[in-house]
This record gives sequence, structure tokens and C-alpha cells, in this order.
Amino acid sequence: MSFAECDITLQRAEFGVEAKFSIPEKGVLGIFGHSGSGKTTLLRCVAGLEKDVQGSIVVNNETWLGASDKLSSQQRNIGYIFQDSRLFPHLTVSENIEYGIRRNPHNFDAIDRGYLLELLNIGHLLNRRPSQLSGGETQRVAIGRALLKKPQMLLLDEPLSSLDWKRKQEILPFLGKLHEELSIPMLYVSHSLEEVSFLCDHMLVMEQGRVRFNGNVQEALVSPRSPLATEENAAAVLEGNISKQEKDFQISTVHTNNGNAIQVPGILPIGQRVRLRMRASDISLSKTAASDSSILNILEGVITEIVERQQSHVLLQVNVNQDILLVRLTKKSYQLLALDLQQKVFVQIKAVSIQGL
Amino acid sequence: MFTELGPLILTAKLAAITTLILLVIGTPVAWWLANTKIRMKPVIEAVVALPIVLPPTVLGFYLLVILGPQGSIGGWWFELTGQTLTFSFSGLVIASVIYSFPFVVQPIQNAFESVGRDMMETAYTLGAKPLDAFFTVAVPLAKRGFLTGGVLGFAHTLGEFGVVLMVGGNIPGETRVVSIAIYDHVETLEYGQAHVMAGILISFAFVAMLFMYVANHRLKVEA
Repeated sequence: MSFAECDITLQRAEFGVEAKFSIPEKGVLGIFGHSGSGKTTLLRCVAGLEKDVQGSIVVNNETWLGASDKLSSQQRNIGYIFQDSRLFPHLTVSENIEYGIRRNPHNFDAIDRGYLLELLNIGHLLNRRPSQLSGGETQRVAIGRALLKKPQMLLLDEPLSSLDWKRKQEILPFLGKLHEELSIPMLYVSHSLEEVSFLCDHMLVMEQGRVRFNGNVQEALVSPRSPLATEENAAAVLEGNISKQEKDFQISTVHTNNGNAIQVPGILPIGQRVRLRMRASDISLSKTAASDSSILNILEGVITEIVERQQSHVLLQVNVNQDILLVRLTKKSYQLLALDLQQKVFVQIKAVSIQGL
Repeated sequence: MFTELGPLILTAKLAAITTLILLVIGTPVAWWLANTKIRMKPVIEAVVALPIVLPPTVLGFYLLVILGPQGSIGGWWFELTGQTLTFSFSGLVIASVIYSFPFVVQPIQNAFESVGRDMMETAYTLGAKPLDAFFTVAVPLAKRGFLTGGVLGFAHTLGEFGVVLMVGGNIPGETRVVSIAIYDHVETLEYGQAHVMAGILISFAFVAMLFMYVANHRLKVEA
């Protein structure tokens, strides 16, 4: 079911954005694009921060933008998280958080404040000034400030781009959890394939101000119609649950939604939902199943699509029992193995190369 | 002693009233200048800055013409109140406001510009209306600009001479400010009195500047 319908046109002398899309009630909508693709501008249009926007935005049966009427940002009840946090430097952490709460009093009791502060792990920072916080803390406070005003929709503009992968690993699952627990629709702007792979359920891929691809995340990552499939670090994402732990080896087994068993490094609790990200360049193919290989994950599949042919590389889609993987091979191996569409192959994935979150 | 104290009190009163008026009317002008995108902006900025470079006598001459009983503003004022603006305290206030205008507007404008649109937008997304965001975000973040503008406006008004001489003359208790009084003392070779007043003015100016720089530094550390 759709939570919001947007049909936005913004024409500027140097640059224009044109996008028609729905925001689903469930799931995170990722807006992916490289710098200059218009993804942030699109988010600002939804937030009401851009002037001269044409078109329509209807959120939850409320018209935010119509032919004759336009709600201002403060009327839209959004939570906006900026790339650079933008905490007010003259206010303490708790005053920053209060700022939003006080201006949206009707919403206040809807979120348990203590719970959220604990979830964000910022309870101990309340009396500090923004200048006394680390990058990760700053961004967590900004998330708290945006959420505690109890917005109808959360808009995130590259909130993690200033953090390293380790910090991202801390905050990404948390954002996912937030989304699940608060069931608040989220728009997530990013130029990081990793981030959108782990967080988003639907994707808008922007190029030069226009939507190049609009669909669910798995498809967006592997479809030949999607620009993401041919990105440098293209990867497929599979979802599943942890089904087995091998403590001696520090290996867990993930049972994907389509029933494949994939071994990944690390011990995770049985039953936990995970997403696995497997880069096209970390996967190799063989025609027969190797029995003496160091590679733990050897799965049988069929080549279903040639996504891209380049001078030296071939990018293939392999269907492993309905799980779609991307595989990048040199053209040389492709020809030596005499591979082609509908060919039965064995997919080899090194466990250590799999990112799980 | 009254003759010595009178000009001092008058000067302080003039500077205080002028600064207050300038903060009130200068703030919206500074905000507008900091945010406008109209092409005319450099022209308007140049006009605002004129009092910095013009000889005070030029400014004073035009003000004398405009504020005089035959002038546009002075005539209107005369009909309204039956008094002349020239050679009165009210006239001095108007003249000082114009004379010190850029000294208040420019620092506040610069401060607003460095606050930038980002913080205001953030306030809007948190539910603040524009005026609310202005007072709770832009003004507190620009407080150093207000401090600088206020102190400069005050100190600059203290030291004004040429404009006062043209518009206000030398009426004790009404327009006889410190700078005029010093000039008088020197003319009549009363160097002793001139020394006292000049000394007080120097000390005061120094204290004002010191206060501004110390406070500015403090505010910087806090933010």
C-alpha cells in the first residue's frame, strides 16, 4: 500500500529534477544517485525546502503540494536528518531535542522518550554542547531530535556519509530497527551501495535529475535495466535467517528466503534476520562442483542474464533456486569455460567475502 | 561642574538612544541584505556604507537641508510639533542614526550571512515558523554581530563631531556633546578642561572596545 504519491518537477536554469514515485507505507525507500544526480534536491522538494516546485505531493490523504496550495516545511510534519547533522550549536543536546518537541506538542506522548534516548545511546550526552560530541554521537542526536518530534515521515539525507564503515555498521541496523518498531515511512538518500543494500526495501535510482529505475531493492541491484547492477562494486543482496552456528569455526549458516544455505563468518543468534551482500567480483563459477575447494559456499544455479559485456569483463546474473546473484568474470574465463545463457553452473562464494548485517 | 558633566551625559544619552534605534531598524535591514538575491544588492550595500567614507560635513550639510524647517522632513516635523529638528536633540538623534547606520548594520549582516540558510531550514523542519526560527536560531547564532554592531554604533556616535556641528550647533543641554565641548575649550584655550574631557572620552572608548573584544572572544569559546 502506498503512503504517499509524489509527482515533482523542479526547473532551474542549470538543473532540473523530474520524478514520479510512491512512498510505500512499509519499508525504506532508498534514493540512490551519484553527486549531481538530483537525489538531495528531490528530498528537499518532498520536505518543502525548495521553492518553485511544481506537481503534486499527497501524503496520507493530505495534500502537501497541489496546483494551488503548498504546505511549508514546518506544516509538513517531517523529520529531516541532514548529512551534516546541523545541531544548533548554541543549544545543548537536550535543548536541541526539546526544540522539535516543543513545536509539535500534539505529537509528544506518541514516542517513549526514554526508550528512544536509550536506543540511540545518547541519554548520557543530554547536557553537552554539540561541539563536545563525536561524529557518531552528533548524528545519533540529530536522529533523536528528528524522531522525537514524532514526524509522519523520516527523510534522511546521507546521514552516514561522514562516518566510517564501523560506525555505519552500528547505526544501520539501528535505523532498520527504528523503522520496524516505529513503523514510520523512511526516505533514505545515499550514494553508497552498501548502505542502501542493507537498509532499503525499495529503490529510486536517480540520474541527471530523472528516475532511471524504480523497484524493489533486490531487483534494483541486479536487473540489467538498473544502473546499480553495473556499478563498480555491484553486489546482490539476499535475505534470510540464521539457522545454524558453528562456534568452533566462528561460522553461521543463513537460510535464505528461497531456501539456500549460505555460510558466513561470525556468530549471530539463531533466528535473526540478516541481509547478505555478495559482490559480483567475489563470486566465481565452475562447470562442475569442486570437491576439494577451500570455498565453503558452492551452489548450483543457471545463468539467466548477461547484464553487461565489456572489453575485458562479463557481468552475469545467476539464478540459484530463485536467489539471484551477480557474477563478474573476465571475458577470458567466460570464453574458456564456454559459458552461455541457460548454462548450468556452480557458484562459488568465499564466506569471508560476504558482508552480513 | 555642571557644564563639564552636561555634555558627557548628553553624549551618553545620544549614543544610547541612537544605538537602540539602530538595533531595532538595522536588524531587519541586515537580515534582508544577508538573504536577498536581488541584483540591486550591491547598490543598496554601497548606499548603506556611504556614511563610512563621506566627510561628516557633507552628511551634515544635506541633513541640515532636509531637517531644516524648509526641508522635506524638517518642514513636516515643524507642522506636526511646532519645533524645528535642526539644532534640537531629536534632530541629533536622526542625524546620528544615519551617521552610524553602517557601523551597526554591517556586523549584523555579516553575522546573519555566516549563520546561513542551513540552520534556518533545520528549524523549519523541526516545526518552527520563520519568525520563531529567526529569534530562536538566527539571532542567538548572530549574537557576536549584535555585540559588535551595538558597541561600534555606540562608540561611533560618541565621537561624532562634524555632523553635530552642522545639524545641532552648540546648545548646552540640547546639542552640546563632548566633542563639541572639547572643541570649545580648545578655542578658548581652556586646555585643562579639554584634557579632562578628551581623557574621559579616550578611556571610555578604550573600555568599550575592550569590552567588545573580550565579550566577542567569550562568545566564540561558548559557541
